[in-house]
Amino acid sequence: MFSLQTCSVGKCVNRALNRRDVCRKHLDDPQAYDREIADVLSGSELVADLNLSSLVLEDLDLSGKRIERCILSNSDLRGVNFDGSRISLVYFDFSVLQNCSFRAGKFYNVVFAGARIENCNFSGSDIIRCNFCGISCAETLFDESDLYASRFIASTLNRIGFKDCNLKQVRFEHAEISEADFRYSNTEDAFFETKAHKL
Amino acid sequence: MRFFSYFSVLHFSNCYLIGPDGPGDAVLIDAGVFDEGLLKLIEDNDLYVRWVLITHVHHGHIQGLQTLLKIYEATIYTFDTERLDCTARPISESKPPECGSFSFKVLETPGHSNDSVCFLIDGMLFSGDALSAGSVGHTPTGYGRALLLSSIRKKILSLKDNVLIFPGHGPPTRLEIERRFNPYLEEKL
Repeated sequence: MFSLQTCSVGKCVNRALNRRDVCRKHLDDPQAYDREIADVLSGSELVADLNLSSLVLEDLDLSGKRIERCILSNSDLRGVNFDGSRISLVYFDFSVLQNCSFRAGKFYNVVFAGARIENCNFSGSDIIRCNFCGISCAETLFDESDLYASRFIASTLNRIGFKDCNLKQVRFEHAEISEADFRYSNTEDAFFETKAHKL
Repeated sequence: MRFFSYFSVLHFSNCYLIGPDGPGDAVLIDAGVFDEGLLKLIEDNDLYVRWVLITHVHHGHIQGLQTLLKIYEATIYTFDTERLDCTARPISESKPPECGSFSFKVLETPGHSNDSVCFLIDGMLFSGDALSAGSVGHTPTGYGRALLLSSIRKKILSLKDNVLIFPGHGPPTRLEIERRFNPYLEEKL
């Protein structure tokens, strides 16, 4: 279950982090917390039901992990390797993802909305029903991925590879797209124009 | 509390299962399909579907009810009981469903359909077809559109930014995301 406990400090409405009863803002030593969590993540095959908002991780190998029902909103992840990982119902919204690798992964119901994604590689992945709304994304590859029912509504996409992707039910309305490569992808099954979508 | 999401390829709709930490009675939110995969999810986690909450009576959200009721003795809750083929109890903002220790708040959000409601529990909103990631529900008329947007603004956007949203279709989202990026919420009434 998502960890939805509130920070114990005064009237703070932020959610408390796991292994602490306070939010990131009220941690005594955030760097020590980041190191502790990096060890936990590295040492576990399955990471589930944690609130790790505003986590800062750099050059960490999390390849092949299973991550479920976690909140990593507003995190700063640079050079993190998620290759071959299986991630479901995880919130990375409003995070910075730079030079991260998500190749050959399986991502279901993952929320990247509002994130800044730069120089990342999602190639060869199943990216099913993921939320990329409002992302600012540059120099990133989704080549040869199944993006079924994912949403890029109101996103800014610059120099992105969508080569040979499944775009069935993928929504790009209100997106600003420049220098994107959609070769060999079924763009006819995606929605680019603003129009009513019947549910 | 445990939480599971299940996707139906039949109507491309989501349903959600909420249960206790251990074995016991669970709540199913919407039942667009009831197939082997959903049954396995319920049984593998030692849960028994005791209550079903319906966000609105459209096929993609209720078609699994008949099968479900052959397996589980469940109480069905919906805003509009008349339109269901099975016995159901009515709910409204003043009459929330009784689901044991699970305390749901009902938000009436008409527009996509007259009987649309959302369910709120512990910072998680099950928004049915009223609001989804970057979008809002389809409405048949301009009046319906105005009603839906007004419902969303009044009932949903007044909630806290960190409320997690689990819609009837598409990926999950969070209230702050919708407030900042959902272009359809900017439409003038």
